[in-house]
Amino acid sequence: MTKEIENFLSDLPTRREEGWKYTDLKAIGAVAEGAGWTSAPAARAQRLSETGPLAEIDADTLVFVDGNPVVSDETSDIISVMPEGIEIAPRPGRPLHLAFVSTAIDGEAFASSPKLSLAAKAGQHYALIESHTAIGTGNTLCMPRISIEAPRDAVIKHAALFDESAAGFTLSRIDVTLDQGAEYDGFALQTGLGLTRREATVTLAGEHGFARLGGAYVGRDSSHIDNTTLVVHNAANARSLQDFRGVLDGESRGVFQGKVLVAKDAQGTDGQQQHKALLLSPKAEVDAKPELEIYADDVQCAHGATVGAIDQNQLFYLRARGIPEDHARAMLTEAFLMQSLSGISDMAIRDVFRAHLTTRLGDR
Amino acid sequence: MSLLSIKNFAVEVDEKPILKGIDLEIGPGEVHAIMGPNGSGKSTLSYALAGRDGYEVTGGSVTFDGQDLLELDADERAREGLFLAFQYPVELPGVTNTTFLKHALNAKRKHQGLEELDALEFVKAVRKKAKELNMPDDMLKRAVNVGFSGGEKKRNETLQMAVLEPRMAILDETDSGLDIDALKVVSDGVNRLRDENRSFLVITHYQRLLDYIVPDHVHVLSAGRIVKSGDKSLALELEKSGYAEFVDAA
Ligand SMILES: Nc1ncnc2c1ncn2[C@@H]1O[C@H](COP(=O)(O)OP(=O)(O)OP(=O)(O)O)[C@@H](O)[C@H]1O
Ligand SMILES: [Mg+2]
Repeated sequence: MTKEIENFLSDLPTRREEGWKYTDLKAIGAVAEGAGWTSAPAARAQRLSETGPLAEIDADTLVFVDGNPVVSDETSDIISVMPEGIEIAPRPGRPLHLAFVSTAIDGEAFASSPKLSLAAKAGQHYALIESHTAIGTGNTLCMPRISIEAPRDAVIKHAALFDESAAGFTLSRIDVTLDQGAEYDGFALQTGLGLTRREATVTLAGEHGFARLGGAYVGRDSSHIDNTTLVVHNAANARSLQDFRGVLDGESRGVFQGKVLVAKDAQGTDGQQQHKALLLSPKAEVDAKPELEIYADDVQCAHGATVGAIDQNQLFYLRARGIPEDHARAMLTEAFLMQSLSGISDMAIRDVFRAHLTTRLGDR
Repeated sequence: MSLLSIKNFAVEVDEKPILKGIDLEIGPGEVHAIMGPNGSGKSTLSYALAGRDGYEVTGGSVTFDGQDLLELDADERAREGLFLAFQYPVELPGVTNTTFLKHALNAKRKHQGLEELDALEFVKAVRKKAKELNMPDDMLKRAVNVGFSGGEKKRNETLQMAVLEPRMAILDETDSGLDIDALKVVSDGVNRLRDENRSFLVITHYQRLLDYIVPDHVHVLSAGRIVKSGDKSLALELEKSGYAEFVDAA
């Protein structure tokens, strides 16, 4: 086990700590005590191709088996594994798929904290794909940390899928810094059964940058899905857009903590943030805490958070056209989430996500 | 025998009696019009017939083609061939018109023991019907009623009716909000569907609609009761004299 994980486990954030009020990590502690976290054994190589629905997208693929990178011929020349982390120089125009696969079987427990840094080149366009999937049902704790530096006018599209097993804990962090005119367009689909927390921080460090953080999630059974975002506007005339939607069923729990911080010099900022949740069960729960912290005076910022159940008017309308009630509910639920997918510009990814969402909504 | 037989029908909403004993017999192929002041219970009657939750039947009976309508859930009633064109059509963000129509039609076909329509056949059929109603193709790709103008929403209700080909259609003020040309287009749409088996209950405030969709019977609903019935000349009479006579009587 790495020092970092050891420290993390012995020093798990508690709900009293800032930013952790709604996500309780006690379960990880309990598993840790019971099984003892070890680093993963040799990769279960035969399963490297099982990286979930995004495998369909043609891309350079870097697989992490239970958190450990398996560098292949395909990726060896864009990746350097350094003691302090993995440095990646993605090829412009060629999608790069970071595939985190958990293979742990029952009774096993693996922990990892891969650190990745991506260096983009000025003016170039990149497509990044990230997936977290499980083919085993054992405990895994994955704490990936990805940092992205986008220099002038670089464009980064990022699609992430979190689809872990009930025994999977994912605490992921992504930090993006955008220089002048650079763009980050990220979308995360979260459908796992375990505990997922995703912390995304985007810093708009140059004028006319653009950041989009989109997300859709499906809470089922007792899953816990946490999106904690921070968008920092440090430069003038930059724009940010956050749009998250979640559907919560069973005893699942959703958390959205989103903050937009506008520094004093960031005049002309446009910062929008929205979170909408649909509760399908009386035992499901969502906590939304949108925040704006603004020090500039010429800004356009707005945030909103709504939580509701299926609209009875809409439900009756569908039924009045002959659509059976459960089918009508499923249609409205799907429609609610699908609306957020329209923010994904890559049609192939949008289609994969759409199909995956339909499957997961059907699994409820 | 009547297609829709309503006997002494009483309905409460939020424990407030709204319909106080409605009797109405609609035979196959007949067109009945209901007129009446605001708040008299016209929409309540249509919702109660369509099976909306919250409309509590406190008395009477309704049979549809011989079966007890009130025993059926809202969606079962629709699959049996009852259609309600809403006074206030509902917006469905994220559900395209085509998807909506396809699910609705397939639910009905399944109920009838028919195979689902092949996607291409379906699109063709819907396009043809949309064209007859002067609706551009792009409206079919848009989310149901989202951003539609008042008149477009009413036309969309008519399109749904044309696609679903109900046996009994209740049109709740489908004419309100329509411009003069659209009124003609929608009326033509209704008239195209008229045949000896299909019946209509047309709720309206305006005699003008009944020049296009000529009714066999006209009823006046006031304060939850049908207070007068007659032929199409009753509508003309009402246009002149208003409802004062009935409001006092009720
Ligand atoms: N949820 C409710 N609670 C209390 N009263 C209600 C409720 N819904 C409807 N009503 C009342 O029932 C009465 C009948 O309403 P309804 O909508 O059926 O009238 P209408 O004849 O369709 O009127 P309009 O011509 O304006 O469309 C009205 O007085 C209305 O206020
Ligand atoms: Mg009405």
